[in-house]
Amino acid sequence: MISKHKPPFLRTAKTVTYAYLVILVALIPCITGAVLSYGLRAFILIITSALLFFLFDTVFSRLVGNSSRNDNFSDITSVVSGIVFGLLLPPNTSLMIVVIGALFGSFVIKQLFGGVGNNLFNQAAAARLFVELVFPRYLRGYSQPFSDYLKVDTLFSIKPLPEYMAIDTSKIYFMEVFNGYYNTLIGVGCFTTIVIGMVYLLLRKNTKPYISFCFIASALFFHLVLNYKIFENNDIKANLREIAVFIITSGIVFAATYLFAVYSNVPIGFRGSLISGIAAGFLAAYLYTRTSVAVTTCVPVLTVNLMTPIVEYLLPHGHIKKSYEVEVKE
Amino acid sequence: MITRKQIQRLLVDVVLIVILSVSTILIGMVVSKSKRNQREQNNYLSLFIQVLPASGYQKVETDLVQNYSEINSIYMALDKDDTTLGYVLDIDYFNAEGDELHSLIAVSADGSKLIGYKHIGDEMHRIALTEEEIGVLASQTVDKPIPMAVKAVEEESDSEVESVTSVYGLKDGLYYAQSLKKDKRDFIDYVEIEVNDGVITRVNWDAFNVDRTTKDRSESSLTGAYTVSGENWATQSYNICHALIDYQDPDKLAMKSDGTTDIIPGVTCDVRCFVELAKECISNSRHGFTEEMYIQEMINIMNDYSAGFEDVCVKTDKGYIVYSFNDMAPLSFEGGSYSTIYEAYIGRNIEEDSEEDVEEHKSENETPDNDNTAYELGEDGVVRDTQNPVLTQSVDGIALSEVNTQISGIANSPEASAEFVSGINIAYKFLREYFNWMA
Amino acid sequence: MTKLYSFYSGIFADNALDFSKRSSYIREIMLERVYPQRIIVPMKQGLGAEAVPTVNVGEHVYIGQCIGIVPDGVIGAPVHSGISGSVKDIRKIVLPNGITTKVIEIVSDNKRTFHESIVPRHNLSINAKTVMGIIKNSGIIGMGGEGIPVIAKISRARKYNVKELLVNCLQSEPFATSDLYRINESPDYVVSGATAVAGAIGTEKIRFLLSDNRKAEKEVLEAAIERAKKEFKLSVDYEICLFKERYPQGYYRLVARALYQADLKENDILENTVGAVMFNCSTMASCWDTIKDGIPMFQRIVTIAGDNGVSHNVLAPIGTPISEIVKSEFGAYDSTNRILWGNALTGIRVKDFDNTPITKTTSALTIIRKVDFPTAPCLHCGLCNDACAMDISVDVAYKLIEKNMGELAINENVLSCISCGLCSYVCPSGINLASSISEFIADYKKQNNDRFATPDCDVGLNNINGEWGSFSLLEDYVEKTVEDVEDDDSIILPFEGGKRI
Repeated sequence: MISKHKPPFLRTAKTVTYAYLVILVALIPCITGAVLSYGLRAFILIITSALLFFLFDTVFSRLVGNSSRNDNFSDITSVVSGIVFGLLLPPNTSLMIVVIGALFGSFVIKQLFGGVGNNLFNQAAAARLFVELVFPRYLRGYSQPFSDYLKVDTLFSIKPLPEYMAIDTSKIYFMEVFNGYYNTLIGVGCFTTIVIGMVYLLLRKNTKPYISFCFIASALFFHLVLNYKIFENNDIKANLREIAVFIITSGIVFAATYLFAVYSNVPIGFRGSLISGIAAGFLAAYLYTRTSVAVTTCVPVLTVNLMTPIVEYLLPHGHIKKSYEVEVKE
Repeated sequence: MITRKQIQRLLVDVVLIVILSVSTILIGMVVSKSKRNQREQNNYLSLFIQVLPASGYQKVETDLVQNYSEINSIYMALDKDDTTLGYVLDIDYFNAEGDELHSLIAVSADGSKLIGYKHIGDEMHRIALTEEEIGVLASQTVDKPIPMAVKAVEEESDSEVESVTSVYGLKDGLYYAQSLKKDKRDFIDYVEIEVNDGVITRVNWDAFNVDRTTKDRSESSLTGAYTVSGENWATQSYNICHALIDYQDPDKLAMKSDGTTDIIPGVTCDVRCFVELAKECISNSRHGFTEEMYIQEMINIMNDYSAGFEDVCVKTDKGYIVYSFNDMAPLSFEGGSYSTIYEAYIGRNIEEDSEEDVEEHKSENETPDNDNTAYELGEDGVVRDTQNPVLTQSVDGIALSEVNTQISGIANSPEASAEFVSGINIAYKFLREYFNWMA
Repeated sequence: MTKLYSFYSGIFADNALDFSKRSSYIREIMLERVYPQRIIVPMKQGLGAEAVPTVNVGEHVYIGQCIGIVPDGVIGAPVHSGISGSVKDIRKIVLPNGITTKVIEIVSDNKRTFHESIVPRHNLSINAKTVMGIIKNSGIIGMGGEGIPVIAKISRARKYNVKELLVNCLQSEPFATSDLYRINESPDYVVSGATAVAGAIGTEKIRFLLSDNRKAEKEVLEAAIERAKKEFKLSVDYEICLFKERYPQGYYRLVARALYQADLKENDILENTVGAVMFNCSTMASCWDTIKDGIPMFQRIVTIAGDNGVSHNVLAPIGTPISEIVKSEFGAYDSTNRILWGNALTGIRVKDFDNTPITKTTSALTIIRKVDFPTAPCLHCGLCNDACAMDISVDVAYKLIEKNMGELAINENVLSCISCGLCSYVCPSGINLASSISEFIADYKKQNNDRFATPDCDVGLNNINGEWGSFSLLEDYVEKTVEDVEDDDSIILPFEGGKRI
């Protein structure tokens, strides 16, 4: 508890707990979209992930000795991380992957670095990238959305999955892409729900808008530059469609909304956000055509996490660069 | 610490956001559904236009498909008025070696005819057929009734027993079977069938009396010496013989348990004997056990008993042996090992032949009963068992009597041709079960 | 399109720094006056030397009588009595801000007798020197909180030949509305006071700094300026500069940043960097109180407000104990609340209400509910850095201070801290950033004998002896005619003589 005798005696209502509750509320559209798209298995994946992250964080923090000394602090940061991790999974993922991801995210990424607030990397993004790189064959469980709502057998399977051929989004109507009628991660599919979440966070001023917008703008720019060959034709409509499909399917909006909304290790000022955003956007555009959506989403986030302390340290502080002096007559 | 005001605000936010999200998703589903349907229909049309052009296609969702691992999906083809034009089945057929044939099969709305075929051609290991051969097979099968079978290939052989390489195939020739017992009026029934191009073209049912002074039954019925209820027996015999020509299958005569049938006009007499003898004739035809061989075997049996058969039996004008085995001493088939002359023939030839000859005599095996556990069904129903070759009475699990079309197949690839046909028969079997389920 | 000034250059302004909604000013019909039974007047209330009491225990004093005097040659401000009565006690106390000073306790006789020198001035044809003298002897100090004697600032401004006079009407602290009340109640006093001070300094440009969302105040100021222009017919250029509502915009270095794009260092002043001098609007109004009405600084408007919905301005004599004000406001003190001496972000919690007086710099008494605030580990969110107006790496400095690496904290510009409290306010983890840094800075300055460390000293006026008698110091500035002012050093203020205001 803070000292009652020292100023200021007025504090913001936006405590850590409240801020993360707002993020949880902002995640609801995405969770709703995931459950309506993929049914029971998506719901179980998300809930299990959230519970496991919370459980492992609590247990490991006690074991490692990082537990909070304050009684009033409720660590729901791990719940948020768990939900985000769950949303970044394909629908037919086994619960085994969730357990492994939660273990890695809690113990390695968070507690080994010192617990709440001391982790260098975003817990969800790091855990997701870890399982993607170490267990790639177990993360191919894509399926057509809006079907097999009660299918849950995939959750308990421990067999590797067959090679997956992604749907060619050029072969489906744009409205289908926009509404998530293609095989992708359960949280990334429904673009409209992510936008709802982003708007909510902006309205509640519970996010760092600079880094989010710099990231999206930069990714878009580098996509145009690096993947220019897809725009070689003169069909403006097709080119615009390609740009829109990139924004929708690459996961950058999901990363900008939820992975940058958490408070830790994300630049807050404009200059730091611009520099980090450019680097992250470049990576997103580069990886989009070469790797999976999960890698495209998580690697830029982790890059920003890594760059933030360095960028914030190197950038000069201060809003004004020069001073103005008036000649004073003696 | 969260204040009450904050909690209230969050709760209101949650409710509003859930409502907004659900409505957004539902609106999105509605808006994009028509596009999705349009795209799906365009996809279907591009896939199925070569097998079954239609205004629209609707995927058939049924649990029955789980019983058929080869079937990937089934689509109902509809015209503009939503009338069913037929069904398109995406079938992935695998043989015993794991070779694959992936194809689209279009069947008519009533499931009786193959109306389209297209090989998709995405297999890693395909059965031994080239695209041209597949095309030839398709031309042989499209617009033909299903189920189908590949005709027996007539191999040139010196052996009296021809090596049977086809299944249903009736071998051309004259086949004969007669009752081994006389009836109450001392008549011994006989049936004679003539097979041309694998099809029964002539059937004759008559009976000769043990007492050679009595005319044959048909002649007796015409003179009034032999009467039955309804039409005279000769007419009834004529009718039922022609019915068999039409149906090609005695089972299709719909004989009831009392031996009568209701489906053949004018036939009211007991036709049990005719049905049994006709089946035996057909069996003999499959085995190539001609009339001549039949009669010769009867002579052989007589000779085995005594030196001269004239002592125990007589021949009719047509050369038939008049002898009721169970009534007249000393020969009897009761308690014997054989119930038909053909079995006796087989038994006699197996004992005499060497092991090497047995392998050639594929037709010498007994026709199996429904119990198939003693042997392995081949893809064309023929068991390639060198020890004990057996012929089956079914094709891909379909009764031979159900097979409606026989195709020639590819001469050099009979097995592959049979596998080709098996894919089509899978469609038939599914639709049969599906229609029964729907009924 | 009106330009809006702001020290903050970000695109997304965080409303956490806009406290105007907490300070929704509703003008009262009549300003409530507090008539305390006793006052405890500190001899030192701001920057400068402690005044020497000029009265003895048992002596009778009048309203406006000078009871504490500053020796010549020493920066300081004389102190006047706000009530009439008898001196009960002269003792030392420690004010909440840590200043140890003598205080004179006066018990009211409930007669409210004014000193004879308190007479209005009809002839306002006075020169700059007179103005300065009046201001000096009236004991006016900066009422915005800095507590620098106005005469000292005027002298300094004259020295640096400043070109602009800035009148700070920005009251961006939460809950405080005393300046807003003063502007609404007597805008002419604010304008006239500023004009007089500008004349004393020698500037011809006056800029009123006001928040953009204070529409009513803007209107009254504009009207007052128009009247001043018509009535005074001066060549003074008046301007109202609108600022984005943001705390702590009123701090002089942030004003310089917003207005002049000048980044002042820790020891810089406006006068020698941008050629401007800034005064609080209430200070200007007090100057005109003295010049026109002859009233020295013995009372001020104090806001009593807080997060429980109370917001009320009262006019109270300097030295009124907090208990007297709270009693008059609430009847009885509610122990579930805390009373802060100052505003909610920089105020100091008062424990002894009976012996803690309001001073010339006390603009507000804030009443805050006792609420437990949860803490959490630092998330490295950077909100404190973003909120800090002085561009300090707050989180880094705090960590270094916690780990006793203060020298490294100096490198993080921590000495620039103005103790606005914003970093602690925005911290979602509830960490005591501002107070930790402030304590570190105070210790550091003490150890380094920083010249800006407030001297807490006794002037030691051994040469002042004898009976003082009753005076206000304004007797020297009785109304004179213009012809009497003949001084080579004097500047005749271009006021039209005899014109009643």
